Amino acid sequence: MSDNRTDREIIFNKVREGLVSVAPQSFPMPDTGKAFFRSGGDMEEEIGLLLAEVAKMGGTARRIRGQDELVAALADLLKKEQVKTAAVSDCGMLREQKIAELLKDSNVDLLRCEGAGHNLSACDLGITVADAVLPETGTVLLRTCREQPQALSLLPRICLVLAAPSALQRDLHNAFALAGGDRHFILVSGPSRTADIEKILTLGVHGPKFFYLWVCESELISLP
Amino acid sequence: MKSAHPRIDFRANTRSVSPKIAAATQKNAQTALRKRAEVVAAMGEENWQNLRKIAHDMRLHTITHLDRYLSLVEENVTAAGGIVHWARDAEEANRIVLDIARRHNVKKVVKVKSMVSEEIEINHALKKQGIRAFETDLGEFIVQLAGQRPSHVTNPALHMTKEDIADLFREKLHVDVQPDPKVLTEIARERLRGEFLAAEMGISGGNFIVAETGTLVLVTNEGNGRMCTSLPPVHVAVVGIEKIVPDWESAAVLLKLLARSATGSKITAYNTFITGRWEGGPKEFHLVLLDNGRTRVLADEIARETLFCIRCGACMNICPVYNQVGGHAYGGTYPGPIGAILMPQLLGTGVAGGLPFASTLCGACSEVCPVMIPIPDILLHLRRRVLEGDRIEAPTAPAWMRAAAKALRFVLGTKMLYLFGARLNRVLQTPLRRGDWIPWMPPPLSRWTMARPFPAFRGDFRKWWRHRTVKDSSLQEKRHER
Repeated sequence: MSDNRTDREIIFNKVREGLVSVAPQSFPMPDTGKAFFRSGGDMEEEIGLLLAEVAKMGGTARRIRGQDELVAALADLLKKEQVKTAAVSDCGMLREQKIAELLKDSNVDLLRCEGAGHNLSACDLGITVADAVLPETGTVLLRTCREQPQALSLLPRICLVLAAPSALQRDLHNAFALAGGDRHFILVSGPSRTADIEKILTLGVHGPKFFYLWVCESELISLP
Repeated sequence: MKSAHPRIDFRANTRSVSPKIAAATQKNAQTALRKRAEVVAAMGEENWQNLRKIAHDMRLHTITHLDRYLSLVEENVTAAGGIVHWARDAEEANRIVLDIARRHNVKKVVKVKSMVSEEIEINHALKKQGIRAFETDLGEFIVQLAGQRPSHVTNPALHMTKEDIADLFREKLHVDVQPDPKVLTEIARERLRGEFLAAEMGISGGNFIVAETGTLVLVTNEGNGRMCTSLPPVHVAVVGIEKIVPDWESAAVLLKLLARSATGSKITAYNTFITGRWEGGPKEFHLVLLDNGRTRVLADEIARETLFCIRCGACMNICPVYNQVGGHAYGGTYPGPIGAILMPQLLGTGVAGGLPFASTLCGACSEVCPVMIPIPDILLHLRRRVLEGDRIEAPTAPAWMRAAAKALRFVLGTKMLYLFGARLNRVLQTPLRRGDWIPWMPPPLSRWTMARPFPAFRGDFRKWWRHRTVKDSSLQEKRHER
């Protein structure tokens, strides 16, 4: 006798048969909220922790206080990393800070992300804005949108993320509450890495080789 | 249960293990366990144990309500523009992937490291159709070049030294290279960047699927996972049906446990969250939900917890057997203690019935497991299945072994026979005994003495125990008198 059921029906039947002895109310969902025990400190402590954790992950993090410091930091970065091309997120914070203009003034060619971002493969620098920051792990949350394609933080050799202090979140729990409904988002913690050869840590595999996080503290710098 | 997989002979496999593999495996394990201990200590032992307990109960809840959560995943992925497929077995999963590839005229595929894709041997299926599949995780890239299987779930090339890898790159990639991990990594980066950009399809697995939104979660370090799932115009994720978590809070719990247990870091470099089709992403997103024996595991109340596994590899790092023989001795996709309980259930004990015996039952795997899978209990349960059979499978051990096991059970369970046997051992050992040791025994017992001497039977345990008890109780009395 041939079996005309679809694979879906067969799998569901097998699952239900396998669970026939399990009453519906058995094994209730535990209180996962108890797993979020990190209370967090005040803003100063949290920023301090964030900078330290980014450094542990192989990245470079610093505080930026005001527009002048931002301009100087950007100039230093362009010089140090010999940046010739860059792609910039179109999010509010970067637009207001006129980052694109600053780059143009420094003779950096600006690229726009086309399609999935293949054209950014040879780009030197990608600049994005963090939607949330997790000090405990030195992590930034980047929500993918038209203004901020994910290729910006993936294909260029250097990934620079700007974050406002108000983006600080206590725990993964809070970050997921913010972005859990999105179609696509990423958590980034330092540059790409591997320890696949003799457990020796090597930074810069397929993704960016360098990761910079700047916490921009000036009231001039608005939230993304 | 029938399987096309060749029978796994663990004992035979261990004979070809070179000492170099044991050394490399132990080096990996020591580093991984040290780093894990550091991050667990930083979190606090009580918090860690609390997290493990929550994760265990959450996995138990999910697996015992799997039908409900599978429906939810299907509904949410479809609503987000993804296409959900169901595959009973490896053959069906490969057929689905090949159909998609054919429709899009795919010639080149880039792959994220995925144990499920190893399980279904998708690379072979693609190659047969003239499609080139590139493993893009560095470790997987190395073992693919070498024509080998991964030897660890999170560190596929741990059995190879940097010198081995440099030799391999010289032979296969025709590059003159020194055995420097940084240089070797740079070569892989350059070689694979072009493939990422040219591939027409990306294939991934999935660490978890969040049921409440239908979100695929990928945990990676190298950036290849993000490239494979965003640059090609088609993304196909092949995921086992057990990888579901109910909600975002559950996902956060498991992510905290996974990175700490797998790599000894608080978090990996990249965690990617994909729900169906997304802005700037591939034109098509396909999710293939794979059974391939998992529903059989689900039906076994004792072994069901095998499905809790989050593939962190911590049980491998701590296992004294795995650390001596390496991953290839297990002869299949999943090595180590989790492989010893998963493979016999997926492939049948006729194929992998030797693996539950490849354990000292020390219990370290269970203590280190982030989701508290009782691996030793399941190993014993499967040993019983091999010898006696149960409602899942008939016994598969040879008739002589089953008869010997029955006879031994009878002897050990009958006091007079047990005492007689104990005395007989002391007599029989006389010609072989040299002091406190027996340096040689006749076959098949010689397998033991080839590696180390056997301790001689000394005295009568029951007498010794009685004597010890008297001494202990007299000590206790003296303490009371004081």
